[in-house]
Amino acid sequence: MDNVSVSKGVFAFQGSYRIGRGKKRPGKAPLFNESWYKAYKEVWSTIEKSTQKINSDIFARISEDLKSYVSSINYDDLSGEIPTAILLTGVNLPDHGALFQMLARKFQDITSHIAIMQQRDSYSLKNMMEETVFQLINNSRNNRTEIQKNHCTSSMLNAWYQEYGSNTPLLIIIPDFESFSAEILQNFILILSVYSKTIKFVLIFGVATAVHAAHRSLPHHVTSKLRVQVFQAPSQVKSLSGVLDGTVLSTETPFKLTGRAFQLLTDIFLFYDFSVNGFLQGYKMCMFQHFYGKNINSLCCNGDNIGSRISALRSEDLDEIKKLKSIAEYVRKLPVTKRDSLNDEEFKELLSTLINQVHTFTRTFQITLKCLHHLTSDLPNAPLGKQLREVYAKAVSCAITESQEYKECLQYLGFISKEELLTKLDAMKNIIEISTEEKLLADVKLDLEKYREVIRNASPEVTKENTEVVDPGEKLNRAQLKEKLLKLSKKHSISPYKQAQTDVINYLDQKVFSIYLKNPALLPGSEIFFFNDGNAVKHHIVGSPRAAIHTGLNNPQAYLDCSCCTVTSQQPIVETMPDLSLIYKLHLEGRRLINMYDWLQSFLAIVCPDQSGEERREVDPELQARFTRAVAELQFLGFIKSSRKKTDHVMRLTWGCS
Amino acid sequence: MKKTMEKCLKSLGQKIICRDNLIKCLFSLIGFSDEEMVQSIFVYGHTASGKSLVIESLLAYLKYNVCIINCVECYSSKLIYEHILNDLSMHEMNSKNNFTVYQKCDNMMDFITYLQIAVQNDKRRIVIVFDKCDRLRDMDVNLLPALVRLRELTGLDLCTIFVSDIVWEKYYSKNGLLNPIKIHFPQYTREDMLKVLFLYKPKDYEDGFYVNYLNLFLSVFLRCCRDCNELRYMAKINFDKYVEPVESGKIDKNDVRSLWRNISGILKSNLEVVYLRVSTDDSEQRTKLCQEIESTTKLALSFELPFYAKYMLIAAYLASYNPAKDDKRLFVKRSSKKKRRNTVTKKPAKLNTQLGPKAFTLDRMLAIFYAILDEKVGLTANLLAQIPTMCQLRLLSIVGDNNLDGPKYKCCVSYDFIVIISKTVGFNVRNYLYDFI
Ligand SMILES: Nc1ncnc2c1ncn2[C@@H]1O[C@H](COP(=O)(O)OP(=O)(O)O)[C@@H](O)[C@H]1O
Ligand SMILES: [Mg+2]
Repeated sequence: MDNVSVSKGVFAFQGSYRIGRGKKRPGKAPLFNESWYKAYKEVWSTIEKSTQKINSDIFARISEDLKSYVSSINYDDLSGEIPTAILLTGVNLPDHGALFQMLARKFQDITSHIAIMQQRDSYSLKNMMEETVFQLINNSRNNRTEIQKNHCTSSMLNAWYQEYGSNTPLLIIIPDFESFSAEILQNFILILSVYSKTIKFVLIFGVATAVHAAHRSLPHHVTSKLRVQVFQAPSQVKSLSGVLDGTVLSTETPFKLTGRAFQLLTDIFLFYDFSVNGFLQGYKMCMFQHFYGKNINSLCCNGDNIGSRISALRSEDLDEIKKLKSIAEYVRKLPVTKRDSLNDEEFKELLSTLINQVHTFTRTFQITLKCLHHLTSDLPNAPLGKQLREVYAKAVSCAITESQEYKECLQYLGFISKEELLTKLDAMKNIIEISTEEKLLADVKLDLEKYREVIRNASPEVTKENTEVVDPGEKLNRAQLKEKLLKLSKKHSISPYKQAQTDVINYLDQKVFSIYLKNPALLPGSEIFFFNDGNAVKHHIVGSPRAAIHTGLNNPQAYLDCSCCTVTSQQPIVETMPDLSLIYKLHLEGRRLINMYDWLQSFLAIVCPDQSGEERREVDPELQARFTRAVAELQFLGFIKSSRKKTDHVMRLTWGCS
Repeated sequence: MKKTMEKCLKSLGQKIICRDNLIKCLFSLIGFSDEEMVQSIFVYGHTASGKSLVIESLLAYLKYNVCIINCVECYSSKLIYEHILNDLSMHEMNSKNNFTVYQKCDNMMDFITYLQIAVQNDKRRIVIVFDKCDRLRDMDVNLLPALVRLRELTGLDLCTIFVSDIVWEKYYSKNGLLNPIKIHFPQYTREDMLKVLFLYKPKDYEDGFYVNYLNLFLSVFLRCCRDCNELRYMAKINFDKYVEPVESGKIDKNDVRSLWRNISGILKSNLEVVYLRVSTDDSEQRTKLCQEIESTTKLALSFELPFYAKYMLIAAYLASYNPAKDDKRLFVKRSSKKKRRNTVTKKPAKLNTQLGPKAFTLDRMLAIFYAILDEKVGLTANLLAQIPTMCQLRLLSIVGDNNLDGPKYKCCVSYDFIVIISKTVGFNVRNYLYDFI
């Protein structure tokens, strides 16, 4: 063997490939020019803008409060305590990052020395201290020093502050107080308090649960080092309402979420995570689903340039539109002569009127809905729901004016006092006035004013004087007399106010709600604007890992799209399936502990069924290797683990899948 | 008694009262320039009994080369060494030296050498004070024993003073330790405390008036709090309330009885917020906050949890406080209530709910979750994501090292809390708790 060289050379070979040359700059993907994409982009940007505005509105107060707190701290008043703001943020953890980033931005004009501490940077006191000092020193704009992180200590901070601090406060933000180790925090606070005489610190703790949490994790001698002020961020449900008002329920956005899809998103919010950010992402997903690849939905825009969009449609698109359920219905109902002569041009014309109709309708719908909500939200038990979103969900899924709850509301309205009714009417008028679409509902407004006037002047007393008295001289038979008396008594018992109240309720019911609150889904062309396919988005936004793995393993065809592994209920196991899938199915039949040997035998019986029946002691090493690998993969997926109780057994870790 | 000592006492006496004996004692150990200092001193006593005040004033008076270290702040031996070297060599960190320390140092041997070099040209005596020295025990094992005999090791004219709230016996370790001289700072008596607090009298009030106030104040507060710092603070904020009617002319300032009637309520309500420095001027608001902190009901109601998270928490609670073997009986729907009653015969003497939570596996909790929830919901990522969220909120805690195969949790909320949470979702936990059926 001595003439065999063990060294192997690697020789450079100059090929034609050059790093970086292969990659061509991706030209603008054709996607960007599609009309549906442009429409999507436009709609999303309006939504994004409005949510940004809403967010800053919602948090405007709290950030103003915090700012004025920070800038008004008088350090001479404090006897060595550190001013601390505890901000009760609520449990919607996913949104906190954004909140605190925004706060930090707002504080920039008070101090440029801000440290936002994350839990990952604070697994030990040393880390936390170094990270804080590092951020405080380096976050400043006029950063003149260059200091390594591992040189950062509290005494260094002190020295630095005396030189550069120029008496501005140093702001330390801890966004999620609960996730920090209590012991580290205690020591951290004690260290800060050592320097509280020379350095102006301000602490902001974001507490998700309650002030209690802060006091539970800090002992007395530490809390007495803090001067605490508590702030309350707006509640999650409130901020959801705000976001809904600005997106789904606003007249600005043409894209509307209805039915199941709307229900799904609000449910996820209320039942799972309270995350406004999550809601918006889900909303975006719905929009993807609505717009993606569908040119006809490019018509989903605000009225102005609808004409050009319609003329840009190709005739395939027009055919597509004609197939929409509501439009097909509409066309079918047209007089035959008109229907036959409907060429593309005419159809475009028709489409334009239909779409304008949808536009007008949705706007009046939104405003009227707000009116209805205002009218009914404070009735006893609020049959239609306390929140606008509840009324909305109902109104877009069925004819709300025919619902039992609606009728109940009208009944209740018959009992409210004059003052209440007047304020409600005023509020409704106001809603119509402040909406940008005032002229659409101008006559409603006028009518409301008239009714208001009548009600204001109507006395709640029953008028005493009777114009018509039963004349004893008059000859009446029994039935006539009875009728007359009944009529009189009816007339008497109704006061002018009562009459006016009934009138206005009838008016609202018949002339306003019944007209403007029809189910918008029935309008021809509504499919272009309304999206209700909850199931389509559910796959994308509600991940269910276990179910997905189960489907994948139970029925590999679902993902592989192969033609061979068709499973039926009679034959759930097919030998062409991947080994992992076979092993998985066999393991479902097992109990908590699975005997490896038996398992192998069943596996062999499937993969080479020819010599079935007898037990195989001699196993083909290749088959055994396949088996072993599949078992290892199953373990990796977390379905089994080795058991210490019995060496040749493995333990199942899941339940209820079989 | 020597003259120098007398002079010192006189000078310190203006600021410090009731501690003359202790000052004398300390002075005699380190103060006489013609006698050698002792090697090390251990000073202990309750918080805010004036330890730091006495030592710092004395050292400032003696004009020694002093280094005072807070051992919480210097959490590692390296930081301690560097801090001492910085201080004793009069090194200043600034932008000229890019805020670096005098000398990097991370072990005792180097430290001794560097220390000798650092003070070569300084003839002053050296005193190093370790405040909160109990932390030293958690650092390197050789640190405390070496610091106790630092003079011996360095050969310098040096004394180390250790300051702590706990007794020296708690410092013993296996490796042995030289005993320093111990000085105890006793707690103040009521009279002493009154004198100390009187020292911080606001300027524009008569002595008698303030003494009256302090008497009233101490009669309420001294029973529950002896921390001088805290009492000073409380005396200050309550005094504003005390003088309010005097300022406005409602009550004569000599009318002690009316003044007492006026203040006693406020004092008592403020007694509950000792150590809780909430910056609202309104004492009502302060008590409200305090009640909020104390009461579980308020706490639970202030929790806004998503719907399923609440059920998940209830499931976790049930899993934590029910024996696993009874799950079937409790949660399988078919078993009738009557049957349940009959089967329970013997109860362990102690109730599970009083024994504290037991660990449970994730699977068990999910199984209970599905059993108590009437609806059918999928086991989705959103649902599972609630578990780490609740861990983060400290409602659950992970037990043991994070075992990926079978993570175990404990539920950290109390019975009262869970009762309230379950009320908000219309669920009766008692029906499912082993202790109550
Ligand atoms: N004998 C005293 N005379 C004057 N003030 C005192 C006295 N004892 C305590 N104090 C006050 O209490 C405060 C806390 O004392 P400190 O020396 O820090 O306590 P320790 O170090 O024992 O925790 C001091 O700052 C001082 O204001
Ligand atoms: Mg002290």
